[in-house]
Amino acid sequence: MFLLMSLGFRGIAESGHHEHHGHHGHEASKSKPVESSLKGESLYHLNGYWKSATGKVFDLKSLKGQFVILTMAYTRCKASCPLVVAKLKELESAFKKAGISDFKIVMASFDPKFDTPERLTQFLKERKLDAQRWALLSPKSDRDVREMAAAIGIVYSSDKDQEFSHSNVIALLDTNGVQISSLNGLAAGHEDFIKSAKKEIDAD
Amino acid sequence: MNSQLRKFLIFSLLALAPFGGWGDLPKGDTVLIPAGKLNPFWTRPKKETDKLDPIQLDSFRMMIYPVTNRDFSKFLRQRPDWQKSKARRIFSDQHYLSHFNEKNQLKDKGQANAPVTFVSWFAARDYCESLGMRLPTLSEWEYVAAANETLVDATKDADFLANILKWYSQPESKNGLAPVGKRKANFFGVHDLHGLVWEWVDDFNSNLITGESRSDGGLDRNLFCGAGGMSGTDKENYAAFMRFAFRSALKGSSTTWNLGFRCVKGVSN
Repeated sequence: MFLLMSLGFRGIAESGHHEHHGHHGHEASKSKPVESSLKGESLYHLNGYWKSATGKVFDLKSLKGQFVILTMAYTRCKASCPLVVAKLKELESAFKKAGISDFKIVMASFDPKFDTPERLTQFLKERKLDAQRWALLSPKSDRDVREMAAAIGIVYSSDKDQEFSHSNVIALLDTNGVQISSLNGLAAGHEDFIKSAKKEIDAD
Repeated sequence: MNSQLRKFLIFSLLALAPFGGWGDLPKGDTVLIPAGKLNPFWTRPKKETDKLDPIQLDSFRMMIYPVTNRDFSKFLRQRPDWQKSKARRIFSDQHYLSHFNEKNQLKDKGQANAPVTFVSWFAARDYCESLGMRLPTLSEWEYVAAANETLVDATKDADFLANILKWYSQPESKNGLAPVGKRKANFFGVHDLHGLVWEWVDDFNSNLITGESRSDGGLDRNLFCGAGGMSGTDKENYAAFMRFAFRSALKGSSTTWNLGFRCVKGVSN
């Protein structure tokens, strides 16, 4: 009987029916409950591994308590990506003009290979971005990128030259990390963002 | 309970399952897909004059059937965080497991051997990882799904394509979905890639297509950054194009009545 069971176990294990834990390092924490204070819709439940431009591990939950303008891009992009930064700058001044001061601009990179914290620091300088306001995030692996893109609704792929093609979606997150509005395409106006943010503030 | 004993009990149960009448098909079984080449018909070269290199796929093992409702019920017991009432909305939309009740039981017991649907990409991915597996890449899935019963690549076979398109146009049946494994296996020995449910792939969100720009191949620069985008160099494969359009409309949290998944694992050489 025992032999039969162990044989059965082997057969089933081969067919993929055995449990497998923690083979991906940072995923092991996935099954643990995340802070219950976060709403279920919050993007901050994602536990991808990101680093800030300073090289420190960046916990998305640390963004709680303020509005976040979030997009994904990569710094080597020559096509429309300078336009992405321009659009984010436009949003930055529009928010300030509307009297909203408590917000961060987060640009998460598609590119785990080239967009290292060092490169992102350089990019902040080159583009004269306020490091207090802007958080540029460096992913550890494509898995982290794929996950965030899947959550926001961004479509992307990379080619053999390590160039990324991606949709330009900018998300507005409320103080809980819940996506309350999004701009699809850089031609979209920012009135909805301001309106959504104002509505949240008035509701408080 | 010590973990050794718990493992023993779990595996004893699994080992006895075939005699206990749990089900008629070993659902987690995989089949070897040999290494091969795939023509990336969904992309276009950066320059019109460039030729597209075929995608080289390493061999891997793929589940013979899509994951069933019964399989997924077991997973729900192991992973309470994926139970209907507990799953977080960022990982699964409000339709998640619509066909299960609040006690995490299948509403229609007759659907136990049908493919699980109303599952998000995040849920599917965690399911596969709980077995030490992963979701197939889009290339892997399309490669295996291009085969009919006799050909590795049946994408030039008019009947094969017509049947797929016919299935795509069928509305939801009131009787639910058919059990897995009722159709003939394809060339690789894999069942139900067409005709039953659509399936998640790991990089489902990797195709850039827009309604307006697909005819001329030029993408709206405001919407998209970069050169890649679906052009449909293989216009005859309209069925594949529909799959790409469907996938591009999904978010990782999306769930629908006809979207399921299966898992694969790499083969160490």
